[in-house]
Amino acid sequence: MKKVVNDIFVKKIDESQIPLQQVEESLCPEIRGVIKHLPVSFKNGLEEIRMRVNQPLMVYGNDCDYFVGSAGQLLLEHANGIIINKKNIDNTLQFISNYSIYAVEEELKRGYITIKGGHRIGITGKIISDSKGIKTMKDFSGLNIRISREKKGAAKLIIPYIYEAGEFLNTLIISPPQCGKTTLLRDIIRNISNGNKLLGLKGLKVGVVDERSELGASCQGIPQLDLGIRTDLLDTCPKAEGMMMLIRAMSPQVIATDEIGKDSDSVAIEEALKAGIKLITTVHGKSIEDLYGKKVIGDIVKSKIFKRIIILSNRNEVGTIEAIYEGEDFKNLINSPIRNKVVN
Amino acid sequence: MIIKFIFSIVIIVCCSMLGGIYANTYTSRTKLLSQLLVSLQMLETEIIYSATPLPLLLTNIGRKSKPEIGNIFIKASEILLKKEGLTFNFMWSKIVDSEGQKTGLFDEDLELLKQLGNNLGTTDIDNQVKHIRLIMEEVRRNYQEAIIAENKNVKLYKQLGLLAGFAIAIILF
Repeated sequence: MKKVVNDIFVKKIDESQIPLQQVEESLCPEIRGVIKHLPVSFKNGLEEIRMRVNQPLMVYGNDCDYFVGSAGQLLLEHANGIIINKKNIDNTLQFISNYSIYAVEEELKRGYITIKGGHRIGITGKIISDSKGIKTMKDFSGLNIRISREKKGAAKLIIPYIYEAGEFLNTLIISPPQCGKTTLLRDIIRNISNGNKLLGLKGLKVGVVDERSELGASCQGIPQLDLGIRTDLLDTCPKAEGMMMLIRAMSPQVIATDEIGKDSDSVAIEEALKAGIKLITTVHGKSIEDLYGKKVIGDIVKSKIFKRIIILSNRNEVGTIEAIYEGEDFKNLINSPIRNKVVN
Repeated sequence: MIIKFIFSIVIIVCCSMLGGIYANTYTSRTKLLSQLLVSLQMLETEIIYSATPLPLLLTNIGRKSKPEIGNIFIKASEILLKKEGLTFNFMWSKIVDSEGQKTGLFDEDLELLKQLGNNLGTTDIDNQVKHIRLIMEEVRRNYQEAIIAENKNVKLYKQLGLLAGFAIAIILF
């Protein structure tokens, strides 16, 4: 018995270290050694590793940034911190791109690479552009390695509100930046896709158009974050085209996208509604009134396509659900804002 | 008398075999260089058309190439997949040193192979293609030289072996 308990314990520790292991594997040997020796308590909350040419190595976590000494100790002053050189960045990029810069040209144009595990690495350097726009990037000067820790359960409290008589309702999430909009959408997608036996909800086929690779954090087309068992994902696909492709090809019951707002989007939305497909999407804003000024999304909201409108804020903490409006007469369905702790 | 005669024949056979072996190094170098050209061509095509990441690409090329050349690619991809944090350039020149010596390639050919590792994987497709073409051009030049050397030397060493055998046999008689 004791051994079994021990095994479970050991496994748990291992799992919590997986995100960092994946990140460590993509660092150049010198930096890898240093990051490995960071204090364990800090490592668990580590969010960013920043490398800039000729500047000290920095790590960010627990709302604070530190410099790092050669033995992995955290420093507040940069005097003794490790200085990053060009070779560190170039070598790290070799591992990030799996020794193949030529294979990540598209990603370089967008300025970031997503590696296995969904960790996103932002890259800066010299941009080569021509008349058609950005061609590629070279002479890399900085890396920002953002560690992704999947947080499940953000949508738990919302799910009962976005179904009516067992049927999913068109939903719009309104939120200012950095309020957990994408995390919430991802968790809702997973819930719709998997279904919920306790609430008697059947799993639905969900088509996701992930224009900025934020929902699935795909690495070579394969989603690294769990989006549910009945989810089909188009990675880095323009929203309108992607929605049409999904409608034609994958027969989804629900289509999910992030940040809708272009003219072409409304055509795709109409097409989806005609085909009897439900929608869930997000938009930047603070309130419903904010949206009336925006052309496409304002018209859609006025035509009462969305039956539920969720408003997020970071008033108390990130991910607070301010209100859930009913789409017909904009009645608030919750009495007081819900604190949604899981959202990161 | 008979023993002397047999002994002489043995010497002649051995010497001509030695000449043959020496001549063979030229033949096999030519063959290997032409195979290397084919492998490099495959490398270029794969990079242009499928942008396969290097570890997988090296395995593919290694399997499709002739064993002597393919072995270098396969060994390299095995090491890359271990993710030990070695840079490509460093790892590649080590592999070429250790595996390349087992092939019949000359030092100047191995030097070219090492040069391939300097830039492989570190630039965009256009520059990769330029880089591989440059190496191919150099390999091709070595190949031409190898053919000339082969034509010149194979016959020479074979005959030299035979004649040396006769010479020794006559002196000992």
